[in-house]
Amino acid sequence: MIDIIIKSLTGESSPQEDVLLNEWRSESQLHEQEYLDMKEIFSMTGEYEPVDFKPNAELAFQKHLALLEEEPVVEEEKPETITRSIAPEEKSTKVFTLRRISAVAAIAVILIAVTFLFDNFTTNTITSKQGIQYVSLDDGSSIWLDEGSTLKFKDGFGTDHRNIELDGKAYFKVNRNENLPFNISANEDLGVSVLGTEFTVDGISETPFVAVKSGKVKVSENGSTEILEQDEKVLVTEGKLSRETTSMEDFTWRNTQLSFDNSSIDQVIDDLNLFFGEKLTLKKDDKVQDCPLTAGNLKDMSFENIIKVLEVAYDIKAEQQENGKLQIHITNCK
Amino acid sequence: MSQSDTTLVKDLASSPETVLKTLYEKYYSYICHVVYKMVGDSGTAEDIAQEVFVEVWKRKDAIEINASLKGYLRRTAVNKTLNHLRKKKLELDDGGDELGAVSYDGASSQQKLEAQDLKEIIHKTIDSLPERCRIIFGLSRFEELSYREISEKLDISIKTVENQMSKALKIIRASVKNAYLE
Repeated sequence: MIDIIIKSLTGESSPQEDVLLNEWRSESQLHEQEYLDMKEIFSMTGEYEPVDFKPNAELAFQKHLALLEEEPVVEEEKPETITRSIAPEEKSTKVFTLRRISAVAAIAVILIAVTFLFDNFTTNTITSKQGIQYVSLDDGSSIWLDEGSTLKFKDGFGTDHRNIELDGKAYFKVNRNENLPFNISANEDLGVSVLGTEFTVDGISETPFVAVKSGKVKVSENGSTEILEQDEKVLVTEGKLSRETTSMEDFTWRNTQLSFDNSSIDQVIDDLNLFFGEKLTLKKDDKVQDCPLTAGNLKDMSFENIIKVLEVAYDIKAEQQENGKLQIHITNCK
Repeated sequence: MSQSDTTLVKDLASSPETVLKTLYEKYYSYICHVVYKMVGDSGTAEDIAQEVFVEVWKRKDAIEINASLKGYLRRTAVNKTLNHLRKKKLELDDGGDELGAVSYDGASSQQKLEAQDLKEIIHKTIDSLPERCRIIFGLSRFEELSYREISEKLDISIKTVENQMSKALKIIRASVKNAYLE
């Protein structure tokens, strides 16, 4: 019964369990008291603050400075070839002295100014000034924001509402939440509403469109509505919605940053997961270490073709798992 | 806009280091705490927090944020931490669980006598939960992830999440009872 009490307190109990719990509680005063004790203890855990943990900001800042001094200059674009790195001792281009900092994937950083923020602003905006930027939101959703595009949302996003204004183009991977529909307004009249799904919204090109990768999306424009499912697309022409088939480009446009320069296979898998949404797990046999990979510009490649690239580079077996993910099993780095 | 933030913006071009230092002063401790509540280990918390700052600083020129910087840092930190925890998957997942040691064995009886406050007992117990237990409890209680979310994001079974949550609260309850019996 204690297990059921705990589940109920965390909001994870099933309706049947709730019924059992209530019956048990009303059986005796002792039971009721036990329940209340547990509830009290549980609520006190919510106020937990770590006692002895005193992070040292000054020291961390100094370490960061030291790191900045070591870094090489911006890298150049690699040609579109795929090569395997042979010598495991070969130093990666970035050297970190801090504990457990893993190698960063090759994303060229170009210098412009940044605007920092202040904490009590009611409308929040995030703009990609260069390249395609990955943003994650408070509700766990992920957005890939095209260059020059802006997201706007008011305070309380994730808790009170999930309303987003998009100025431009973005790929959305929306975390499922039946209680808070995720609403996007792009342009003035184009609206998108979802509970949890993946899709592209382009509000900026001459023919704005919404293309759905998975899930169900409701699109409205000027009063007319369409409900799209997987691989369905709708264009906005002259204020009206018209259906069309999707193309790979509708979803692969965000791959332009997929370039690897001597990145470990772990990093490669991480980046692929970031772009395609947690579809891969990695299993390395004992003798397999970093398995560095150099591959330029995997843009325009579908997920399936990129997996084929990996198969060419290493001895891998790609196995579909029960949980729907693809396991990349590496037995050898050739 | 607070006075210090206006100065921040002006200083960026001329002395980015000053800006970086202010960032650390304002938000490092907060981010450390966010991560700590999820992982329960101070070394790991500082490592991950540092990675967050390094990564955000690298990207600062490619992205313009007129939103809560605190929120942006926090989201990046949560993502990074979940990523880190997912890699520890093998140590976290156990399917079934040994429901053995559910007693609070961290503090000596001297400490128990000194920890008058009930809250303090509970906090100390949380601090000394077994690692796997501590992590999952932290994600559910402080980061407010559902069991399903925890199991998906960490790639472990829901059963493991249930077991560890149960274990955590049983240990906490046991330590409270222990303290009052002393």
